[in-house]
Amino acid sequence: MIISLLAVTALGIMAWLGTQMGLQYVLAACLPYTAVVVFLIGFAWRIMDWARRPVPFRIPTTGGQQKSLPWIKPAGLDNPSDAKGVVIRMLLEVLLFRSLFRNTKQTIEAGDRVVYWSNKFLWLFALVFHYCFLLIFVRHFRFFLEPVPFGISAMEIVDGMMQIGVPRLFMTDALVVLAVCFLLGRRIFNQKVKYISLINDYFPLCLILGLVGSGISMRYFTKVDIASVKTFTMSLVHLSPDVAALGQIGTAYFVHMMFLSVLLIYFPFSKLMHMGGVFMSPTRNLPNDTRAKLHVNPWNPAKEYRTYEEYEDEFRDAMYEAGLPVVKLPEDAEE
Amino acid sequence: MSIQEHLQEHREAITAEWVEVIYGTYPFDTVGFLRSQADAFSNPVGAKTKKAAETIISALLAQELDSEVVSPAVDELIRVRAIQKFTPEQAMAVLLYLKNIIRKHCTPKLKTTADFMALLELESRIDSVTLVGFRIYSECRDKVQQMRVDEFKRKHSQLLRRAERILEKPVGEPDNENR
Amino acid sequence: MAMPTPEELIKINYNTPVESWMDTKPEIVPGAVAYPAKKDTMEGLHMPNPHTWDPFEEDWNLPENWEEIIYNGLKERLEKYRSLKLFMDICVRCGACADKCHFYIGSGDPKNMPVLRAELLRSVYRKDFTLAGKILGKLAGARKLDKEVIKEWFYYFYQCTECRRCSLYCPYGIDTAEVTMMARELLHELGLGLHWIMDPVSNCNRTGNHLGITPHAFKEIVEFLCDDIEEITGVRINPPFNEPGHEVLFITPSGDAFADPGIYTFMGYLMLFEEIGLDYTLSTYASEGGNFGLFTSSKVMKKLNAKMYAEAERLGSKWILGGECGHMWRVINQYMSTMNGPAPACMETPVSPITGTVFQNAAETKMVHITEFTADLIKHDKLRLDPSRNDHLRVTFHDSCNPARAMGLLEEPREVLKAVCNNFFEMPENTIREQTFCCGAGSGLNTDEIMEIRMRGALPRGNALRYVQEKHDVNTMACICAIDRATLPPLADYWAPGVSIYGTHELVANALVMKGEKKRTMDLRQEDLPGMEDE
Repeated sequence: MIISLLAVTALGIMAWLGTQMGLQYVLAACLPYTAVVVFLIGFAWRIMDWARRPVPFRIPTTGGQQKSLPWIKPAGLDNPSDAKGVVIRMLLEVLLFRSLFRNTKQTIEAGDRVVYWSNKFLWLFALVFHYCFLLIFVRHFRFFLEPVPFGISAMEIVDGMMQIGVPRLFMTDALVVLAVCFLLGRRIFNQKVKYISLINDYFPLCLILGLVGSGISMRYFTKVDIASVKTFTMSLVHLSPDVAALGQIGTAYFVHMMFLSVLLIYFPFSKLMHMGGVFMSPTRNLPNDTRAKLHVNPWNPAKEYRTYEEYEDEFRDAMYEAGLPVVKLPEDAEE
Repeated sequence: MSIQEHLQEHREAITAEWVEVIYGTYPFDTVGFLRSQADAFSNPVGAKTKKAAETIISALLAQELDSEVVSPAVDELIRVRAIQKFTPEQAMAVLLYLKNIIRKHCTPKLKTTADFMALLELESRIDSVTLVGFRIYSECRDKVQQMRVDEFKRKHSQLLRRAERILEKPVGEPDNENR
Repeated sequence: MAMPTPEELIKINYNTPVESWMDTKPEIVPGAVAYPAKKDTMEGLHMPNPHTWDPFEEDWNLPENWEEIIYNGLKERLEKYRSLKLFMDICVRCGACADKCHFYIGSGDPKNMPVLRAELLRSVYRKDFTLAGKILGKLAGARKLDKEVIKEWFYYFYQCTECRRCSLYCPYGIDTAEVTMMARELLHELGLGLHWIMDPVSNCNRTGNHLGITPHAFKEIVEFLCDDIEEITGVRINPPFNEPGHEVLFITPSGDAFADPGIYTFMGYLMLFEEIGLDYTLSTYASEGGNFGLFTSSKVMKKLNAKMYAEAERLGSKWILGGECGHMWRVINQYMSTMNGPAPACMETPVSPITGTVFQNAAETKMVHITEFTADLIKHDKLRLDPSRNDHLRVTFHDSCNPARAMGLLEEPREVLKAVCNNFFEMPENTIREQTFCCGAGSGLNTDEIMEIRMRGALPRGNALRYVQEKHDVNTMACICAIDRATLPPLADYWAPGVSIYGTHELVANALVMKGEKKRTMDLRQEDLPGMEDE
């Protein structure tokens, strides 16, 4: 935990020092370009690396009734028997974290009443975190697109609906901080989760906290010059970084870029790849249909087993004596 | 205020302390599981322990130590411990440890001989509870051994039957011809 | 030496251990691990590196190049299984699985949390196969493989029953069973196996069943059961053995023929088939439905499973009816046709000869589960049933892990049970169906030398059973698994004394009114039926 926090702080300080030393161009242009390239190539490579490995067996985890007899209602979502069901199961998994939602608990209240309730904090905060992150990501496209598409502007209006402060507080900003703090908090305070956590778990959370924090500080506190940022990002998009605009932007922006770049570079080599991996999980993305359809294992070895003939050869006399049918009679076998 | 009344007043604190101590003996608690999970089906040990501790302490402080109340509660506590990695003395020690907790709560209040007598009486009750625990512990261990034997018999029930038919006598009886 | 005080004895520990889990090692003492497989057994099966060793000794006599074997073995499996590679890479250690494991709940050992169990292998994977692990080492959650790690694997991967409960709750579907299977394969590469798994494998290979019963003895034993049936019902059954030309080949775990209380389930099958006039045969060659290869390696699983199709082909059966068994059905549902299919040409999509129902869901494997078959018979009203004969039983149902989470066979056994018993009660919701708890001894752990470990793993199931016992006076737990029939009796004995274990088809046969039967005064266990004693 401490090491991760120190590492992230060090990255922030490096960015700040870099700005002081006049390395704006390196921080805001060279680093992000490298990061995007590493991210795209790395991500694609990881996905292809998984995809090229065969799935020898169909091993879905079935979470409900199978499709068998016509009058028994199958659980199409939790135990899909066809591609359509799998797609829906995957959508629920990816969009709503359905498996995590299963965390139900049950208690016996005073008397004999059994009460079901859910232990859904992890699910809720994980969902809040991922969606806010996505919305914030999408919202950032206002810096990369000219004119700003209607959808993004509309989103910003909804996001700022609470009308708190100037500039308006985006709900997603507040929520994402809250969610990251929850996720980090349980790694620190829930002893069970603390015991299983590795540095690889704290680091990305700290990094994201840094990223979000620097972003928030830019918007609400240090108030960097948005117009220059937009000019500069548009110039980045056109692959001709505008050095003049760069001069107008405050330090917080470079810290933000530093965190973003590190996150992008770190992403393909870390557990964050669960984003791509979840789509490929063989216990979720396959239908439970191997009794109805042949699934082929590309490396299926040759059959090798003890044949009936070998078996009968060993036990023939006793089998014959016991009245069990034999293929070869004992006297024939001796010849 | 008599010792009994004093303890009645502190019953919840004593129970809580004792439960903590019992939890503390499990490797579980190294990760806080027993304390944090209240669910009787997700965390049976935690739920059983808590309920049993409450029952035992209430019974100890009652007018009479009712064996029909105490025995099932001690059973809940000891049955789980009898199959953990504990040595027998570790499994049983939690019952006696209750004395330490109660003494801690009583000592400042001990003023008269009657108070001392009351405490000694209570400690004797804990001894009785411990003896019940000892019986249950041995029963559990015997049961585990018996289960091994029964399981072997069940697994081979038909083979034993066949052997008996072939030998024309029950398996396990001495073989007279060889004597 | 001074005697320890109670306080010292219980070693109170209020804190998280300061040590990281990588630095704690299990204590391997008698009772902590099951007995090792014998060298001869391993040799006979051509398993790699067979050798004599003793887990309680310091030196396990590993082959000289053991590190290389593990490295190559892991590398090979990472190439062959996307599942393994993915499960090594994408875990975020969210902890959702942690308290879902029956061994963790019952023992509290942190390394029984599925996430840490997998980390035992993952840490070695990171060291050898990821850049970060190679450079940063422990900082990146990597650790060097040493002999202690091998011992730790042996200890913990044989405290996983491959029940897949954790996989249900994992947001990425990470399946610890898959990780355990791979780790066990690696251990087998070093010649390390369990006696209780490898001995049945060897027997099954040679004689067709786990106990190593020869064909003539097998026949004789089944005939004893027919004698019992005759005594109870007055109906004489002579089941065919190894006979070609029958429509159906029936295969069930051999435990049903040899072991108490499975034998009553076996009698139940025979009575049912006799009553409906099913054209079937038993086989002594393929007399084992169970497949301990699943607990060994995919190679061994395939080898043992191959006999089923081979025998169906030899006998010209149209389809195979499979008995009540848990892991057998994981093999059939998820592995069989891939490994040994397609089914022989003589086989057809199964059709119930009694009701005409076509089992489209078994169109490829041509194998039908007996509860699917019986539920269909009952639905079409083809059986005369007198459920009142089971009235003295108050029944609950234990879902076996594999039919629940690797198949989804949930309603069929319930339909059957509700038709043959008047008193049926479910256990609490988060302990049944897909959320069912293991018996504590699946995946080849049902051996008596580790009875204490089994009872720890059995605690969650035992606790739920105890609950319905207290609440509904339940005295019977039905199941559809031969391993359950072996492991649930001690579970019930210890955690809910007074509950008996029944196979589902034993209860069916109790209620089944057969043509030409005499008045039933006994159940299949030859115990008096209350209210039906001789007047």
